[in-house]
Amino acid sequence: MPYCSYCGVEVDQDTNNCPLCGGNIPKEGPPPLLKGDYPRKEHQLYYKRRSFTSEERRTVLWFFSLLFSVPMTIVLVVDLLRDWAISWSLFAIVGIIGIWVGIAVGLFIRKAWLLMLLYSALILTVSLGINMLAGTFYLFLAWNMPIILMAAVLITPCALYAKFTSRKGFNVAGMIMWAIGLFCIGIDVLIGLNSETRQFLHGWSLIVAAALGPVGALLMYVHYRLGKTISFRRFFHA
Amino acid sequence: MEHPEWYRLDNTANLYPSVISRRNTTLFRISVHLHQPVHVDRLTRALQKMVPRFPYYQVHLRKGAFWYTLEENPRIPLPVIDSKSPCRYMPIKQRGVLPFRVRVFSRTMAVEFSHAITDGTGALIFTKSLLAAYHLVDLAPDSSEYKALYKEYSEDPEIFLFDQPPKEEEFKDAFLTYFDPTIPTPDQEKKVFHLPGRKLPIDQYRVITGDMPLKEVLSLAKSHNASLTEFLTAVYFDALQQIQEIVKADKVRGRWNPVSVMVPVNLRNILHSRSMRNFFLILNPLLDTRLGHYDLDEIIHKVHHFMQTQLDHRHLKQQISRNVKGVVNPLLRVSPLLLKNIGLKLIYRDFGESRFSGSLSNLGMAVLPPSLENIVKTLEFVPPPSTVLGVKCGALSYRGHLRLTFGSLLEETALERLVFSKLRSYGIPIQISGNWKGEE
Repeated sequence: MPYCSYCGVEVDQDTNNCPLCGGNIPKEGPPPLLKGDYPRKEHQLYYKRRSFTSEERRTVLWFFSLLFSVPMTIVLVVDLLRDWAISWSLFAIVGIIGIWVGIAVGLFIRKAWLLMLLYSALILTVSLGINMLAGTFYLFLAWNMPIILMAAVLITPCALYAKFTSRKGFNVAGMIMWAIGLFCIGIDVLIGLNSETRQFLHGWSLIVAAALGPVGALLMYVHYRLGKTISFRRFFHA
Repeated sequence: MEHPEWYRLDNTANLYPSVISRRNTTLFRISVHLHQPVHVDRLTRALQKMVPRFPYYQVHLRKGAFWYTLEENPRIPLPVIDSKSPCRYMPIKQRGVLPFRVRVFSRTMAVEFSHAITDGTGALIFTKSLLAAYHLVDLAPDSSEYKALYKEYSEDPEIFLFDQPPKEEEFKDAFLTYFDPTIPTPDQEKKVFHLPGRKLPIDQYRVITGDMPLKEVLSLAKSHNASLTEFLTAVYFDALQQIQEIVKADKVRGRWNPVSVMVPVNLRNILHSRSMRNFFLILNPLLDTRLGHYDLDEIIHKVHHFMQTQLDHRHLKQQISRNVKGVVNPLLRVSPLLLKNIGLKLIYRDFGESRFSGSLSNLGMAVLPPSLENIVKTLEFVPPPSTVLGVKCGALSYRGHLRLTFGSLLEETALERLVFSKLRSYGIPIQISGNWKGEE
């Protein structure tokens, strides 16, 4: 009978890898004599959280649909009773529908990049809708769209970095600091572009970036240099 | 019978999800040491057949608005490799995680259960049933060997065979049956002495087991007119008293309180229940060491009389009613789970295990059918880790051997050494084993 030489257990004839440790099973040989009742090493186990089933997701969406239908109906009825027309309530309705779509997307889309793309598109659409209702399409082009796109462009690398970095810690915070610094510079440039003075940088964003840049660098240094010698998990254990 | 899709936690279990932590894992284990190496693939097949027979264990913990609940969970546990430290943290609050696991290493298979679903007796029945399934699963059902073994196992009331449906009484929270709201609450217990000492690092749990001949310990207990549990509890008290005296000599402040040992009692036999969920109560014999030193005979005498008084069904019902009262209180029932979590943690800290200096849990005598006795060498009960007590002790007898197991979160091993050396001084031969062989 084949045995795993590491775990000291018996397996089926046709088993190639040990179901416990994943190691190769030698086809021949006597059972290994392992001393003691316990292994000499600590073995960490990993548990997988069960993801929500489609039915559970649909139930959550139904709950939110019902929940959101209440304020939507209230604003619509109040608007109609007050002015005998649907006017300001449309703003609230567009906002609520936007949140509902956001929840639905979050519940059913599991791919991070698609989620990111859809959320950016959704925020752009809701913003466009509100501006169209208000008759301020030019404001959407001048402010809303560039700010949303700029935020999406900066959040994407931060999210990717946080997802793929092997050790998460101060490095993610450092990356966020740098992104905020860049965002401030972007906002400053946008203010310049939309103002009559045509002055692209007003100084405040550079001060913010000058403060956040070194803070981000310090966090990166702490993470990549000191993190090798100090266990932060132990150090900050509460 | 049709079993429900979700269950309320039983009265005792309500506390555990709120107090679980990386150290206080609430996991205990029944270890089975076989003569031959464990066949992992066969064990996997046995689990696949056997686990659906225990629907009240095939669950996962879910958060409700007011309470945690257990919801049915189609997952079947796969055997996993054992670790140097048993009873380590298991994230049972995670969706889909079964509150028990089966660990294997060489000749040992161990079942680790969270106290949120059952107690030692329930776990022992599950383990015996798993062993029977492990023995039967690869045999052809029409073979004479299978039929003979099947007959043998079906005659054991503590083995549930995989093709027998679960009975309604197994699902029951038996505490509710004996709850009487008119019974007054027992008096508040005193503050007690706690073992001092530095804790082991997180995720480490030291186990030291003493294997001794049951007959000799029993005759020793009998010569003192005490039961086995009473005698062991008295030895435990004696060791704690000695440690306290050393601590006092060292002039450590605040350590001079009475000594109390937690002795869980299985209520199934006393109150005739077949529930497979938690159904135990805790007796707390107390030794007021402020009054002076007690010798072992005096301690045995005190423990014996305390146990006899407390095992009266009126006292037991009083304790049950006290425990259930808290849960049926309308104000508590409608308070959100978030608040309950905070409150239960405080209750556990101030009125739970902190009322005890130590714990001795005797699961009694495990009897296996002859065919299983041939494959099982020893059985062992490892108590759950406790951050408050530091050390807990579990006892399980099997085939003329008593295995006394200490599970400890403390660096020092004074209590274990004292208990074993006291037993040794009475001429009882003890073979010590464990998971700790010094720093590695």
